[in-house]
Amino acid sequence: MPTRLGRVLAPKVTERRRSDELARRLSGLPIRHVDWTLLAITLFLVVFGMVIQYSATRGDNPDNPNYYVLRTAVNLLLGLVVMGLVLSFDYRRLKVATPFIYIIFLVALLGVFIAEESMGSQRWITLGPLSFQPSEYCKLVLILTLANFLSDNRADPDSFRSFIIPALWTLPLMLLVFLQPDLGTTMVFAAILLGMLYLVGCRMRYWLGFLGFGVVGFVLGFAFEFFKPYQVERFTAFIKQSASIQGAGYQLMQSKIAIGSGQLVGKGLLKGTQTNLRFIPAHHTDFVFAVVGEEMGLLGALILIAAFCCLLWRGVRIANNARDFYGTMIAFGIVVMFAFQMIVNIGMTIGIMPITGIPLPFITYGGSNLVVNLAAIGLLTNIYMRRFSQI
Amino acid sequence: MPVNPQQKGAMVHRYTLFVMFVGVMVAVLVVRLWFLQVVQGNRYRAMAEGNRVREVALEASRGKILDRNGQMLVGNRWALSIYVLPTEFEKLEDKEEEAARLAEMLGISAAEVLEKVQGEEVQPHKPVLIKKDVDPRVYFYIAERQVDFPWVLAEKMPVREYPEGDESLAAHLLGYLGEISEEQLETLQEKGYKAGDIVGTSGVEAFYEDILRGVDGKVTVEVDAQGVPLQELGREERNPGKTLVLTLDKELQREVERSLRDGMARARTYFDKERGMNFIAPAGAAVVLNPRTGEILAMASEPTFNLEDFVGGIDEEEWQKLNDPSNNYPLNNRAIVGQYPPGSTFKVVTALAALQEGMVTAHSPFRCNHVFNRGEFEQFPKTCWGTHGSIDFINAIIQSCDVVFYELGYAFYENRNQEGLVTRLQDYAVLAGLGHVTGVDLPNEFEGRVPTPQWKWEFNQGNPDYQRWYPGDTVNMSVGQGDILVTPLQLANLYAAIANRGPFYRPHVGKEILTYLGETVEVIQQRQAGDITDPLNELGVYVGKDKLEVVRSALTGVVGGRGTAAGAFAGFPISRIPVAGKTGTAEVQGKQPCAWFACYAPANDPQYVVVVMVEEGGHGGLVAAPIARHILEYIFGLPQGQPEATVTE
Repeated sequence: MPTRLGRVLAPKVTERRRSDELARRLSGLPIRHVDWTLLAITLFLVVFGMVIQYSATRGDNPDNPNYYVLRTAVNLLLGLVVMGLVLSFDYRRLKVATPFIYIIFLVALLGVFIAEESMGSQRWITLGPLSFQPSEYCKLVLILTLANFLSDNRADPDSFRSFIIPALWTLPLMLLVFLQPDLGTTMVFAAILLGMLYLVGCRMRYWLGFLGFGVVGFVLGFAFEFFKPYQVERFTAFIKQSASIQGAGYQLMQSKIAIGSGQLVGKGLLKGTQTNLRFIPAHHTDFVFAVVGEEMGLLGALILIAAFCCLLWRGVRIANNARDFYGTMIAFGIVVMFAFQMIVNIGMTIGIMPITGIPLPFITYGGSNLVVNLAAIGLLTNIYMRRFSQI
Repeated sequence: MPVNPQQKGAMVHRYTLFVMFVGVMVAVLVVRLWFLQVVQGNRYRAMAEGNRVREVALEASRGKILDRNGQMLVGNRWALSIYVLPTEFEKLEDKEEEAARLAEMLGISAAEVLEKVQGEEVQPHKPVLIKKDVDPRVYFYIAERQVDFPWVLAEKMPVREYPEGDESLAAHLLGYLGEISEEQLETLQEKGYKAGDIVGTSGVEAFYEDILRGVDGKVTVEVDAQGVPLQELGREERNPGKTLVLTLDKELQREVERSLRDGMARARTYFDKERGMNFIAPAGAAVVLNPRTGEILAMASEPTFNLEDFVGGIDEEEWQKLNDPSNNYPLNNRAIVGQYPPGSTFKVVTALAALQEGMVTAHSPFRCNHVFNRGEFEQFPKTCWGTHGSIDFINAIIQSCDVVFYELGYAFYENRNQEGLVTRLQDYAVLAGLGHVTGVDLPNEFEGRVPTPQWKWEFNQGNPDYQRWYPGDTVNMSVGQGDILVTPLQLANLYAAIANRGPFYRPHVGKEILTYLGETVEVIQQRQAGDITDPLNELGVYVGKDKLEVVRSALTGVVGGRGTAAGAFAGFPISRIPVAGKTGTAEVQGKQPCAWFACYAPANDPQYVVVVMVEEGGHGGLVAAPIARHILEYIFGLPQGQPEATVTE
């Protein structure tokens, strides 16, 4: 099984063609080796997201039904520029810059606390007309930081040192984001750390130990009422479903009604009653998948999930074919990030995961999120197209 | 960096595990989606529809009730009311404070609000009425600031309106509304009634519920998550209830109620020598009937109640008061549910029976020595209210001589051994409509009682000493005493039969049914209930026309000369408006006597039957007859005269 899968993951290049390729490669630019499938899927997801956002939000602001979609379009342009920038240089140059980036974003996270409160939790930094959410960028920063350390210290993956240093890099970010409070992103950070440690071959007892600490910390948080009531309610709503007819239980119920009522092929775009009549809470953000389920049915949901699976598949493939272990780690970190967010977000809308405010990549409305996701795609592409480059 | 092959193999292994893990998770998502969208899809589709669609009832107004002249008796109005939505209330963070905020505006206590919203019988999705008829300023303040009070509902509630206000005319006859009871719901469910509906609970409101009830319409609207209506999806028009025209004459009703009330007050000024105290006259009833049709022109019962108290639902406290025995049950319509011994007013039945049976003729001579001690009565003699000496039969009726009727009663008793004559006197009573319901179009009418030996036997099953039928039973009955019971309406019907020279009609209050726009739907027809002169009736007894004339002429004598109501009618223009009537003073065990007067006028061409009864009011001629006189004076447009207080009977 492992070897077969390995063969599948490896590019199908024959011995005979390899020499010809090599000649061309040495003379050509890396851009020739771009993973077009990955970019096509990304484009599909972005367009899919904009269509769903239009359907979900056009009724919110009757004077300007395109408000959210136009904003997404602007963010998309910004994201494409960032993606281009990320593509333009060899990703290995990031190695040197990583500690500085890390420091900058750690400061930015601290800055969030100074920024004004928004929507009950402090997440945004506003600079003139722009506002951005450092915690979103920190997902990528964390991946880069961990990849940097793990690729440099690969010789002894199961030592305590190889475990504790990445963990110490991660914890400050987790703590700051957790205090915002943003439980969802905190969990994304943890998932990234655990995913990347897993790939380098971290000792199982450390790995499980970290997970265990997290769980115990969580339970203690509950016990000592450290969490805000709405967090507890949201977190537990999926366990005692339909127990409450209000709050998080109400949100979850409405989300399930929306998705269930979509049935096989959905009610049609723009025709979702749960969506248009605003029964679905946060219908363009956290619960955007409910709109997909309602208006496009099981069919649309499966297509979206399939697209995500394809994206993840390309990511794993890129990780496996990276020129160096640094590239592998970055690519795998990104895969973990996307996979975790997709599974938890969809899971929460259908009542099998806690409601934590984790976005659905590319589909959920949100500027920083879109830019970061596109930057991540840019990194993947960077890694893939330079898989043959010499140092 | 060199990567050794072993490490590379381990990596592939980890990729595989990771991919499998993600695959399993995705599979879980897909299975869950399949379960929600395919297996339970229909259920969620229905829930989504339920979310989206609201039915808003268009409440149809209840039919109006008019009197015979088109005067409004019962109408409708909107009561500005404040409700609380229990489900929304439960969502509030600080319930006490919010309740206190509302309570202050409404001028009630916070505890009262909480009690109503959190009471046992509150249904989660049904608004709870907090206060009706609120200050319009408060109502509109709340209605316009719905955002501040998402849990409060300001709505206009359709309620009954009574133009007479607190005077509350014909309260018993009109009846009140109340929430449908479980028993009513069972029978009315198929007609579209549902729990919580407001229905007629008494009087014509109850009897004509079907007619008066409007059929609610409904609008189906699409709403958003905040419940804001967005568009209309469908509409069923409402259908207002039909207008009911009664036979009642509003002004006459007012006069009858006033006369009864005044007459009872007067009775309380009279001294009861036997008891050594004034008469208490706690209750009474009066009925005015058109004998030719059975139309009830007025029907009064005292004590009465205020229909306004029932508007929008009666207070618990008020309800207790109305059902407290110390208040003499104001809710009872004594004209149809009050059962009393008729006293001397019953003598007409005995007289007709005796005449028809050939026991007496108009001028048969009798002698009254004040005491009746024939046969078994030697040991327990019965007395007459006076000593009439030599008296013929017709004068015995006029002067209400008890001894003469004891004689007749005793004769009926002695005849009981003959074949078919066991209950001969009773048969005549039943013939005249006693002992069974008159069939009036009002709910819960009582049937009174005509006692027979068989009845007595069964009635006293548990008490063998009282099962035997004694001569005294028949003798008592012949003067309307003992076990015989009548309602004022039955007695009115009996006198209607005499007034009509035989036939009598089902008494009724419903005259006509109109659409809410005023077009006639149905005219309620008069229906003959019997004819005492019909030889072919199934009871086997009837009264000959000539015999009836004897009694009729005797009744005209009652209001004049030495008649028992002569004092009451002193000064009444009898020559112009001849009145035929009979007084009654019925002894009731343990109570002061019940005063009766039953009459019809004009005697030669009867158009009105008037029956007046005052419980524990004393003498019929002294108390009841003057009330009837005042009613007749009003009817015939005569000036109010002063009855003389002559004590008779």
